[in-house]
Amino acid sequence: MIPEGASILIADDNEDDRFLLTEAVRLAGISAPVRLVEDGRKAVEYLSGAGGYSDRTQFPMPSLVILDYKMPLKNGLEVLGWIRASELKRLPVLILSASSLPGDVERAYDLHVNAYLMKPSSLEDLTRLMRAVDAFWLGFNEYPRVS
Amino acid sequence: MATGPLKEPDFRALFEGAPGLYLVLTPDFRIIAASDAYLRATMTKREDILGRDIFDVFPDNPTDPGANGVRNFRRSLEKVVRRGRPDTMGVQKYDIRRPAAEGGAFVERYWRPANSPVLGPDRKVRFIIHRAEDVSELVRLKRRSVEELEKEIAERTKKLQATVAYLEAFSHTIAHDLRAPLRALEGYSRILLDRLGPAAAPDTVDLLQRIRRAALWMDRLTQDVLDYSRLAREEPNLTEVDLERVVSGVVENYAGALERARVRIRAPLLPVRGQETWLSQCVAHLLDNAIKFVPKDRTPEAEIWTEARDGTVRLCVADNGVGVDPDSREYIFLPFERLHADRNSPGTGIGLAIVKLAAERMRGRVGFDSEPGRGSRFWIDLEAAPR
Repeated sequence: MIPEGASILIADDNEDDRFLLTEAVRLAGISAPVRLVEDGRKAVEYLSGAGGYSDRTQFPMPSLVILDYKMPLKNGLEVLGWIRASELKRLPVLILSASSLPGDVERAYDLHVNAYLMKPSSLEDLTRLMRAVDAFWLGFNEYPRVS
Repeated sequence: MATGPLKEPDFRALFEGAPGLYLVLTPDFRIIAASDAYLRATMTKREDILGRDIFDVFPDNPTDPGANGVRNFRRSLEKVVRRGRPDTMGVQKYDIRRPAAEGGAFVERYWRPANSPVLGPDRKVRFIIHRAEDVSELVRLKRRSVEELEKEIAERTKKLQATVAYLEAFSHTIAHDLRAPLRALEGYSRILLDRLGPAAAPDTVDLLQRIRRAALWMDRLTQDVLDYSRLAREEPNLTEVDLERVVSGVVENYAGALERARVRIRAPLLPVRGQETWLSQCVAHLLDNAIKFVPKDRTPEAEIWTEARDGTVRLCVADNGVGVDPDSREYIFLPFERLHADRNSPGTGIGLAIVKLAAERMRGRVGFDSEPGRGSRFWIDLEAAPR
């Protein structure tokens, strides 16, 4: 079951992509609130409730984390590794990447990523993808007790 | 001018002064004569070696575990005695000892020796003339150039590997960084289109659609260039591939784009050896090609089938398109050669180059026949999967 007040945390360093993701979430009709951060370090701060993210009513613990692969300060893999080594280790994490070098996908799976997705080229496809993500991860999927 | 009978020449002086390395041996390998040049080359004195067994005078270098001079030399001499015919040896390492006064150490020497018999009236071997040429300098030069060459190759390989790694990072950056603004262009135009809604002026809508199409177009171009460079770089992992699954997968994926077209798969398709992801790319590009270049008044039709051919399988994709102009035949598989001058003609110009490179890297080949105006048949020959 999905916990009450499910939300999604997205980390992406590209401002345009954050804008389009927000738009895609809106177009997809996703009701869960979406919080965005602009790099990997902020994602870790958000998840651990550090820095300016201590207020959980304003910054709720997400039920799903979507990470860009290539980000400054901490990349998607480092954030994923941090989550899996922390007490949030069961948190469903998806990588949403614009490209992948040979081995990237495997490295992500070695760190127990829940899915590896490629960023589509058009807003229409991105909307479709977000709708599918919402339906699967916040709909059909059985949700684990995270902490 | 002096006349009268010629005096017998001094053969000893002639032999010893001969410009070459000569040694005369008895059939039991004792030294009985040597040229001055030979003595100089071997750092020996005539009085020290005459009458002695050649192998006593020239033993193997005890510090060289691979020394085989004595063995090979003896074999050659024995052959000459046995057969009564000359024997030429290959280049032979045979180190020479410095005189005791100079420390008696061995110095490295390479020789090209030949041994010839001198027969007596009874046709038996009376003497053996041993002739040698000191090729040490030549061998050293050759060896040094080989060493230098190897060093150079190692350096260049290192540089090349660095370049490949750089290119990999470079193309990854292209994919990641260049595609992001394209997504943004497409996305923002789309959002604007949605906001403007049905009230928008038709030319505004048209302009925004053009921006979107241009962005998507460049995105595909980027993707194709990346696919091509990746094909050239990555090592294929050849396994048995179920072509039927690959082809129907591609056709399903293309369902949207194929709307207007009729695609027929002539089952069963034979299995081949290849890399599934690459084959899927090949089929997609061939199919794309087949239905793209069709006159507007004609419904695009494509047919896909396989033919078994002596250990290989030919995968064919036939169409009813405009066909290939005979003048373009040679260029059609080159990257970025767009054959259709029409600006609106689709295609990045790299699809067939990807097909060719992928086929060749899977140990296959590509080809086509075409009837301009009527259609084409492109094919890939691949190794048949073992039954």
